Amino acid sequence: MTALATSLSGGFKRPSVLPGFGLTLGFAVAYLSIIVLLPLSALVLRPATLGISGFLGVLMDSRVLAALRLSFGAAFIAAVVNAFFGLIVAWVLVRYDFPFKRIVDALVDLPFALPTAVAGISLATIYAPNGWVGSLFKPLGIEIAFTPLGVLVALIFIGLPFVVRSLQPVLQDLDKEVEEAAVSLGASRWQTFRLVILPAILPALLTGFALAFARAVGEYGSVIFIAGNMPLVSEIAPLLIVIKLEQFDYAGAAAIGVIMLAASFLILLLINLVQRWSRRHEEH
Amino acid sequence: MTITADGIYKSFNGFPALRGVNLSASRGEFVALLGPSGSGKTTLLRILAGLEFADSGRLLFNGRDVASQGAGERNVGFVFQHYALFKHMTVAENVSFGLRVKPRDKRPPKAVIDKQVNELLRLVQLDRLGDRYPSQLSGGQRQRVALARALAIQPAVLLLDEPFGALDAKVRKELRRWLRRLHDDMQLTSLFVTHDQEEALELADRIAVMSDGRIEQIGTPAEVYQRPATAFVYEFLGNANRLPCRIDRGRAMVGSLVLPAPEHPELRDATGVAFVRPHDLIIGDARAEGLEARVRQIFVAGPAIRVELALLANGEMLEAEVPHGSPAGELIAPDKLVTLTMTKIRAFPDAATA
Repeated sequence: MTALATSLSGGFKRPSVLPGFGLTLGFAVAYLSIIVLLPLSALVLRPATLGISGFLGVLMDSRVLAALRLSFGAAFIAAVVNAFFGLIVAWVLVRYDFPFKRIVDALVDLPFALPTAVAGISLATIYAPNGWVGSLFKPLGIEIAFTPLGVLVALIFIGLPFVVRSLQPVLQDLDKEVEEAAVSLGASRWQTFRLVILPAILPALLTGFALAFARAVGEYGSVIFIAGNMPLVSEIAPLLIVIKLEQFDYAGAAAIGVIMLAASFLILLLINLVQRWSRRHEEH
Repeated sequence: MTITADGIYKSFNGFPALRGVNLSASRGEFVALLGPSGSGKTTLLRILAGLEFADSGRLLFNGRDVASQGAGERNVGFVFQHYALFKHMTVAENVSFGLRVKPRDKRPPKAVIDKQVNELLRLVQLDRLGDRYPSQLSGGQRQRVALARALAIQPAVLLLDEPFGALDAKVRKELRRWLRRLHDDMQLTSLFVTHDQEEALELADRIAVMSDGRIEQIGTPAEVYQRPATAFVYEFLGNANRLPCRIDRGRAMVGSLVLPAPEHPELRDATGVAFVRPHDLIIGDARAEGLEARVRQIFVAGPAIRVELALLANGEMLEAEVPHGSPAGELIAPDKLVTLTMTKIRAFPDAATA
């Protein structure tokens, strides 16, 4: 009877000691459908009223293109910056002991917890030409707030925790003996890091990168206060969506949403593939 | 390569791990550091490798002071207990690592590296597994990869930390013999850490028995086994029964028995402990002269019959071994009263046992 049931399910469900496969899979699919797929499909269907040409019209609008370029470009740069500095922060927090380490560790999460508007206003204040940091850059001819640079600063701010928190457990679990083995085989510190440590933490680093990137693409609250929101210059795509909504152009807003969704999905898929490649040695 | 460690002292957060260790190994020697966990043997090995640094003491390789040199400069092959293989590299990449990280001007060309890796893999009998990842190998195979990786840099010294600790009994025995042959063929100087006395006795040219951060005795397996210098060494190497005794003018009194203790001609009526190995304990008829004891348990499986006995005098449990088919075998039955005599004991006065 059991054998029959197994063969009927076409080998999809294998006998396993792990309980609850059917139940949890069913729940996961239903849950994801309601929470993620349903609203997204509504989003995808809405611009259909525009027709193909209308949809392309929205996409080809120079203001929309500039906003998308800024949103994805700044999010990408911010994620790269975060991947680099987040790695250093995580490294210091895991590897070394220093006074107030716990407090520093807790600080990392603040960009998560802070209401984004608060973050945006604070950043705008200190990076404004007359703010603490902004006034330092002004003599150099660099303006941060109310320019694309300001967008980047906000996105770096909100993305940092993702990289640090993705890396910390992995760094913690690194086998110290593996590094000692590398050193005793004559590897320099840099070689040990590049050839032994980095490959081991690369999957986690990519996860942090992808999370920071995804968050930054969709970020709205903190950015609009510091960006200045000049069309074609410092206007982000999410803001453009809100503007279109306020003009009752629901289909146009949804069209931008769909484009962002598609682009984000493709990029995250790509990162996933790279991640899979970086874990190739584990797939046995 | 000769290695000399002289007065090595090391403590961790105020807890002494090594308290003045002297050790030397000459070229071609295979030395075992044997001791219970916490005796400092692994710390000593790590200091030799340059993975840990002594608080004081001198460390000489071929007479040259290496105490300030880092692990990478000492040209030491280190094999970790849990292999510490690079998981994201193939077997061949693991083995070639030490060659690939050499400075550009000393790095052999790729063709030479490939050739050496192939030779090493053949040496450790893994020639067809170069493209595998460590996760695809068995424990014994991983250990051999770790060994090949350590040998690739042509180390002057090979250091092994519990090299067989994580392997099952059969693989362990095979790998042990194979390692000994390899050591002899390659004329290495090797030191290995173990808590398994059988392993040390079988594999090593000399054994350093460690306890509590000190070396209790160094000698050939025969020396440490047959002439243990301290009570600790006696108990740690092989099974031993402890019997309280009095030592007087080269004799030891164990209950009513008087036995020779020629190591202590100078002692006068000192309290001490007499050790006797299970196979040196002779079981006799209840009416014979000796210590009275009652048979508790008999284990017949194994190369000899093992008998657990309780001394009538103080209830102390002893273990004896009787060859299968010997006359003493007739005497033993559960709960039966017997007497014990012994052919050979080793007595230590109390100060030494403390």
